[in-house]
Amino acid sequence: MSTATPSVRRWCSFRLGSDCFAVDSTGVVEVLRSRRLTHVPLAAAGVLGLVHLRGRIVPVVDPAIRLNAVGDRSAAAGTHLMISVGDDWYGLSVDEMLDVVEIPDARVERPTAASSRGDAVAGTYDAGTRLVHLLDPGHLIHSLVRPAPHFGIPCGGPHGSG
Amino acid sequence: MLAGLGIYSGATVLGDGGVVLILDLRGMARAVDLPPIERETGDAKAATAAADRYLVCRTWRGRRIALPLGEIVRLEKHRSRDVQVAGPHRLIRRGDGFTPLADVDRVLGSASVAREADTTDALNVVVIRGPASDVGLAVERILDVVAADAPLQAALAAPGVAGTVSLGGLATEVIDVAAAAAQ
Repeated sequence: MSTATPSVRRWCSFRLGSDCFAVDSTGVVEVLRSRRLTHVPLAAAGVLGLVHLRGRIVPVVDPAIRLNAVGDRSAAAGTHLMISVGDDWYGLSVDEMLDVVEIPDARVERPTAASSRGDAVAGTYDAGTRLVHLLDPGHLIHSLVRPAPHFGIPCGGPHGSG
Repeated sequence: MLAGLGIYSGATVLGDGGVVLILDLRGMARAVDLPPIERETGDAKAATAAADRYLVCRTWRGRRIALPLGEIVRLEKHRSRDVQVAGPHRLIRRGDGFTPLADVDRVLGSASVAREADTTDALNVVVIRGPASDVGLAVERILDVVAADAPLQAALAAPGVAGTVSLGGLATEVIDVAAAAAQ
């Protein structure tokens, strides 16, 4: 016989510029600091580079581009929040790791359709002292790693993928 | 992600844990609209020449040796102090695992040179594929990649040596890669 449990999830929060964001803690793999990235020329603007983590080669992205993060980003000194999206791992470059917060689903405000952050933000939570933007990592990552067209490289074009 | 860019065939991890991108030369040519180059006649000869290319190295005992290019997985450079000892084995850490390290002089039946290199900082390692895992061959210096002037003379084989080949007019011992990998 099962009992109904209040739907409360733990969110791993971090700062980007002057805003606070969070991802579901069940998708967090690790936090890396001061890890050297391998730059990927011609990659999408949101891709900062690649890093090696536990046998995997993991793309690190800059969510600030997609989330329009503004404010002091001087502390952006190589803190990478490594998360899993499906079977893949990605790194989010963040300015500062904050705390893990427990948030009842009922307290999550759904974003308005006109949000400039689009579907990358699944909701917001009023933590009293600050507003926490709860991210949808899948949509966020997809929008950041999508290659932009450049100097005629035929992505999916008539030459195929080789 | 890399595949979508069309100019990378992938990425791999170096001995120091860093990531390196692998270029897709055909993709790069397509990216800049280079027309395909037709092979000249004599394809078979060209293919044979490519197969008979060797990496030429010098061992710590000063022997000039060669390894078939097709047998080489990659080249690495490590700090000598990063070599770890576990029982009879010398190991180099690579990512989450270790690559066993063999001394080419020992493969050739000579004693390893007790060298001052342990205090210097550079160790050149030629990585080949072993029966169970990759194996690193420590050499004093990597000299060149040279195409053979003539086929390998297996009659001049010796312990650790598959034969001798003429490279740039110089008789050069070719390492028996299978024996080296089994060290």
